[in-house]
Amino acid sequence: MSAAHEPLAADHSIVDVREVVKVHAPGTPTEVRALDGVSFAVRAGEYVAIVGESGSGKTTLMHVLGGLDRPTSGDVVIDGRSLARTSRRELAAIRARAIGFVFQGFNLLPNLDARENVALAVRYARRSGRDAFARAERVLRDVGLGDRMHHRPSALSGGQQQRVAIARALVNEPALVLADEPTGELDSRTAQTVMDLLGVLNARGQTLIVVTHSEAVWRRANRVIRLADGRIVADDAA
Amino acid sequence: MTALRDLASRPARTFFTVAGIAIGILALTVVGSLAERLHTIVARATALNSDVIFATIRRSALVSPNARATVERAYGKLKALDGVRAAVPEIIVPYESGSANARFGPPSLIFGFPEQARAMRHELLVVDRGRMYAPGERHVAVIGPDFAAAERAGIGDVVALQGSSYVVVGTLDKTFTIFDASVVVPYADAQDLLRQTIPPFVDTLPSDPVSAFMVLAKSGTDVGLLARRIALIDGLSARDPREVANAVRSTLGIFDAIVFGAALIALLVGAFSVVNTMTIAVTERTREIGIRKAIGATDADVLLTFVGEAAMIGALGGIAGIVLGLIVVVAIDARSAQGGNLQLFAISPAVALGAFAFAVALSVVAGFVPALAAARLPPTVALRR
Repeated sequence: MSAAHEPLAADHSIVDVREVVKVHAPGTPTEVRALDGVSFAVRAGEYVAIVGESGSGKTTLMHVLGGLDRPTSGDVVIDGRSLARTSRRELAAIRARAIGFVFQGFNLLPNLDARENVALAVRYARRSGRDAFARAERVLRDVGLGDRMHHRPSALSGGQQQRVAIARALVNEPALVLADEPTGELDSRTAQTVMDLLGVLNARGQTLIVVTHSEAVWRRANRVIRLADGRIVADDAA
Repeated sequence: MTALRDLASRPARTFFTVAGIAIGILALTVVGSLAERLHTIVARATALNSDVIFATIRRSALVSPNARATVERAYGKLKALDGVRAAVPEIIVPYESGSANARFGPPSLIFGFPEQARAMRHELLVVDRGRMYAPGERHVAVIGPDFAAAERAGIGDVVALQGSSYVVVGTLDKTFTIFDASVVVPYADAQDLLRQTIPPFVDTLPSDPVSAFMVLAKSGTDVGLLARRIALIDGLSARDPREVANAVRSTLGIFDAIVFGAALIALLVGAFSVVNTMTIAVTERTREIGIRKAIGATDADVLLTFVGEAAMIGALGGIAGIVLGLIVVVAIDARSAQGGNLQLFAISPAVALGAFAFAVALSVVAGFVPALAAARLPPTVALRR
């Protein structure tokens, strides 16, 4: 998977967040200003942790970064492509090719086996269908699941499911992997393996942004952005 | 195949939804086969009889004191009519079956034609097995296929016609006309049978009795006009064959509207169950929709996923309905053949393919609105579920 990630210039920004404001339910009594002028840039190969209390805007930021939601104002540029000025279709293409998601609850499709779950992401990236299974198998072997290709999620342990989810996030060689509490539903030993895997990926040059509560997770990052009330209150190298 | 697996993961719901479509398609296949059969019968009969007018001797003329003179005069006038190529005497006597079975289809009749009519009747009187009776032969019968089935009679068997015994020497090819359920006997035998139907106190029949004339029109003749002129001859009645065909066609049209309407209502109920199932599926799988979108699915991808499932329900329901329909049709026809009735259904690939395509198309239409709702779900909303 490192083949696609040629060494990039140190100042090459994979993520550029510019004055992002996100207001939920604007103009209603339940209006919430979830992000309030957030700006930061992430360079290629960085491992960034976004931390903060519940309600600080972490999840909203994750959604905006991942092209799942649009900012009310401001812009997010992922790998040179502005998310604010793209159609729904283009946004889906960016999610498919430029971003890989890893969720807290694994979010695998229950009726597909490990290989099919990973290959589905290849299909959505509009890459050759015949190639999809070969790619999926290669990445699954890479995350240590070569013998679990045909197991459905219900037949896999939590750690294995999260590794399938990581394989799915990596299969299209995205510029950015976004992980939302990737160890939130794992016991500490399994969490350790998943964190090790993320560490290996980053060491190979994969740009990672992890949203987390867990100190064990953010301690591994080389940069920690702390959010409170929708604003960045600290942005330090760990 | 993923669609099939998603459906299989909810077997009970899928079963009942597929059953809803299957029942509709079952109804459509059965009535479609029935309609197909009726249309074939009418089309063949119309084609074979388009230039033939049946001039029947009125019963009142046949039993009147001067029947002989009336019939002879009528025959003479008939032959002299402009546009008449030939007028062939025929005997048609109703067959009274000893069997108590209730019957569908046209009544069984006993026919007798003079030798010269045989060539004209050639198209309708093709012997399938056995042989046609020889000139001068008596007390032999050639029976139609439906008559053979009804009376369980074959070549060499003896059948009773109005109390007299007749040996079956041949069976006729299927023509989808009244001849399928009828018996053809030598002309002299038919005349005897006709005499038996006349009350004994009326001894007025001509020595060479007939009950009808088969009138063949010259080519280019207006058969409608000819039929009206024949009907004006004293003692004869005749109908324009096109009028008969049109009456049958319009009756058939009403029949089609009623039976297809009923089948469509059954299908519509099935379609609503597809809407219901797909709406539940979309609600249950909101999170899955969010996941698919997060990993790059476009609105169209999600739409296709759910429409594909609806189409699969339609395809499964279609296949099940057609198979069940065929079983019903074959079973009814088998029973009907045992009872000596006409075969009721004609299964055609067009009916089956049409029913299948309709099931799939209807399910796609029914699944479209829930699928569209799924496709338009914002990913963040979907992922929150």
